[in-house]
This record gives sequence, C-alpha cells and structure tokens, in this order.
Amino acid sequence: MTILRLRLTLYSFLTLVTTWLLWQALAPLGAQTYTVTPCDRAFTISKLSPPDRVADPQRKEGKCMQDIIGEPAYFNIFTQRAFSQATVHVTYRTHDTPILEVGVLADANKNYHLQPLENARIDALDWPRVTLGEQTLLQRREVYKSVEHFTANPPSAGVRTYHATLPLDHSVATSVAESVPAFRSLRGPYRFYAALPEAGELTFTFTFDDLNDSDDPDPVHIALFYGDTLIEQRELRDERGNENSRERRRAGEITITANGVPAGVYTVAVTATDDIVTTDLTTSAAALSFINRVHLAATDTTVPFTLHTDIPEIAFSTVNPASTQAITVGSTTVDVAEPFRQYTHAAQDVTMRLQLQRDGIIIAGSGVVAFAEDNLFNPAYRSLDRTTDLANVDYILTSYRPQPATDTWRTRSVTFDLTDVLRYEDRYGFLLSAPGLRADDAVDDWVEIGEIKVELKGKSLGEKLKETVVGLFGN
Amino acid sequence: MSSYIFSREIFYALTVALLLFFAMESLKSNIVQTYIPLNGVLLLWLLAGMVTVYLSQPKP
Repeated sequence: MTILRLRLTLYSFLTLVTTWLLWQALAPLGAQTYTVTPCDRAFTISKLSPPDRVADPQRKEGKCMQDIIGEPAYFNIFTQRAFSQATVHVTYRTHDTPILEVGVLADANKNYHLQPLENARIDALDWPRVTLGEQTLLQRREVYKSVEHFTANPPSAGVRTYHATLPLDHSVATSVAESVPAFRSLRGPYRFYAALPEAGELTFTFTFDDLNDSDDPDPVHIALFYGDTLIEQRELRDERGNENSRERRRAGEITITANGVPAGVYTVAVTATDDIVTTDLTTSAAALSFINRVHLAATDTTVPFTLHTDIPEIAFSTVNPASTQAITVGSTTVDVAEPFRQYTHAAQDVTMRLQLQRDGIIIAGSGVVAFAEDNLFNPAYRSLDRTTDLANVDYILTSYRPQPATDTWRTRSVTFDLTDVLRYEDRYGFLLSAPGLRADDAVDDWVEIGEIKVELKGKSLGEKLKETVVGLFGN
Repeated sequence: MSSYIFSREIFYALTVALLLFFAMESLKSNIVQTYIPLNGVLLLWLLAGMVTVYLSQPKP
C-alpha cells in the first residue's frame, strides 16, 4: 500500500511536469509571457549581446541591472511555436541617451523593424499637439488644427518626421532634369530614388554578378514604386544555388520598364544577399539617390572618387581589410582603420562631399547618397535624430506618443506584428538601439536594463483546430 | 518502507522520466531542455541507480 502511494505521488508529479512542458510548448490559449532580468539564466530570452557593448550584470539596491554601453545590443526569444504579435516591455533608465528604440529582426538580410521606446527630445517639448490614431503632430505654434490637415498640405521647410512618413515631394524631380544618372558597383540589397523630370517611359537595366561566397541560393528581387504603389517587379533566380565553388560569375540582367508614367520620384528596392554585386545600372531616369545605406563593392581600382550625401550622422564600415582607408568628409578626415568596426561622423553641413580612396566601404545613416553632385536629391522629409537642431524645426510628425520626461526607472512598451518577421531556429531576434551610444568613446552615456518582459500572442489551439477542420471540409 | 524500496522507486520514476523526456526532445527539440537540463536528470538517474545498487547489497 505504501509503495502504491509512493508510485502514485512520483508518477503524478511526472505527469504534472510533462503536462506543464507541453502547455509551455503549445501555448494552447495562444498567449505566452516571458520575463527576464539580466541576472537570470533563462533559456527563453537570451542574454544581451555582444559582450563588448554590454557591461556585466550587477546587483544594486536589491535590483539586478545591466548597462548597455554600445548600440545596438541584441537578444533572442526562443519559442516552441510561432506567434503573431509580441509586446516588449523594457524596464530601464538612461544617462545622456535621448533616444531608445526596440527592433525585431525582419528578414535574413538583417533588416530590423524599429519602434520607439523613448525619445527624450520629443518628451521635453511643450509644443501644442494634435493626434490622429497612431500619429501625433507637434507644432511650435498651433497652425494646423488636425493631423489630416497637416499631411494633406505639409509645409516644405521646418518639418521633421520620427517613425512617421509623409508623401514624397515629387516636384524635386524637375530640379535634376539636366543631370546624368551615376552609378558604382554595389553589393547586396539597396534602395534608391529615381527622378523622372517628364512623363513617359521609365526603364532600368541591372547587371548582376554572383560572388557565391555562400552556397545558399541568391535570388534577386526588384520592385519599382511610385509613392506607396507597386508599379512593377521582377525576379532573377539563382542558377548556382547549392553550388560549392566560390567563383565570381555573371548572374544575369533584369530590365524593368514602366510605360506612360507621370513625372516625379520613383523608389526602387533591390533585395539580394551579400553575394550579389550590381555591376551596372543603366536607366532613363535623370538622377539616382541611394537611400540610407550603400555597400560599395570591393574592386581592384585604386582611383580616388567622390560621393555626395545629406546624411547628418554618417557611419562608415568595411568587411574587407584591403578597403581600410582615410575618408575625407567635408573638411575633416575619418580613419576607417579596421574592418568590422563602425566609424561615425556628424556632418557640419546639410550636404557633404565624401572623398574615398577605394571601394569596399559601407556608408549608412538616415538620408541619401549619390555618386554625382547633380544626382543628389532627397524627396523625403528629414527624420528627427539625436543631432537635429530643433531651432530650425517647427513641426514634428511622429507615431511616438510623447510621455512625461523622467530620469528614474521606467517601464515602456512597444508592440510588433510577428506574422511577416524572420523566425530562425525557433527564435525571434530583437535589438535595443540607442543612436549615438558607443562603447569606445569617452562619453559617459549608457542605458541600464532592469527587466525585459515579452508578451506573445497567437492563435489558440481551438482556433488552429477550427482552421484545420475548415481547410479539410470547408465551411 | 525501507530505504532500498524508496530509492528503487525513485530510480524507476527517473527512468520513465528520462525516456519520456528523450522521446519529447526527439519529437521537438528543446521542448524539455528549455526548462529542465537533461544532463541534470541523467545525473540524478545515475545517482539513484547507484544508491539502489548499494542498498540492495546484503548487510554483513
């Protein structure tokens, strides 16, 4: 009898543990919450990384905390099943770090969807504000009665956006009517604005090489947009997928044409892996300005060349040791001394000349880069960043909801749609970004993390079963 | 109840637990490991087995 009671106890406990494990894995109600502090050894939410951008966790005043001293810092969330929504709550405090954002890894090209957690520059403004849905308009003087009124007819100057978009200014296309489109070999994905001064035909012909450094397939996808409207798209399949040789070869050409289109600014998005090099681009557009990031493909040429940009805070880096060099930015020099390190520079003027000694450099920041001075145009409203001089700003359109400024511990939240993001080896990738936060500068700035809590939502087991039944037998 | 029986029952239960956990891990990786380290369970199982063998020896 005693043995029976012991067995009953032991196997009931085992059943309980197994049920709990299955419950955690399946999340049958469609919801799951994970909470972690930097001192926890949790498997579900990984520790912040890389180690050179985060300090060791420490306990102070009975609370565990960890400093982020360089940005971005990454963490992964391990889940047994897919979810459709994640709400990330971060408990933190900051020092000399006005902007803090959370991002979710969107695709294999390491693009992240960023959302604002805090913007102290906006929080500190006592400007009148109007709100419509997610969007808030802050005005130095109350001119616009509503966000709709503002977005329908925004002023041409004194406007900054922060995680919000305004329609492109198509009239700039006429200002570049006399220019000749300029291009240099680019590696990997990129986006650019193309100016069409007169209505008619718009055509682009891209030529691609495949480096085949990785034996994964390297398809190329090109999409042409007018505003938010997709006009045309083309795809180039990789004929060398799973081939082991690292030989560089011609991958092919894509021609994309739009007939009878109005004059204005068009956006082209080229999606490709880093194995793909665009060696040539010919177009009927008058000028090309590349958006936010260009990776100049490493070539054998050592002839110095000049680029032009309006990026206020430019970041240079390289993955190629032979491409390390001193880059002249306006009147100063930025020494890109080591590969795999980022070197930033705050521009003194609205547009800057960049003089490079050789290719193989990645140029990134919020703005455009052009390969000829007369090609430089930016039809988008500039975004508000940590260096923006607010004296020249009268309006800020943002999806960020301003909150009372504080320097104590606070918990703020952002929600992400997970339906289209990358889930790799049962993990979702996240990052914490604090623009300007660098581990190797002498500035005493940091973000201190106390807790990360993630609430995941998805389909419940009942909903999944219902879907399966409907799929099998119809309604 | 003797210590031997108690130890033997623990050993049996851990054997079932190990087999169950390994089966679950084979079906979906990390389903158990996320929360329970399997090497720890294996160590406990080994310990329980050794204690059971020791206690099963007739006392001189």
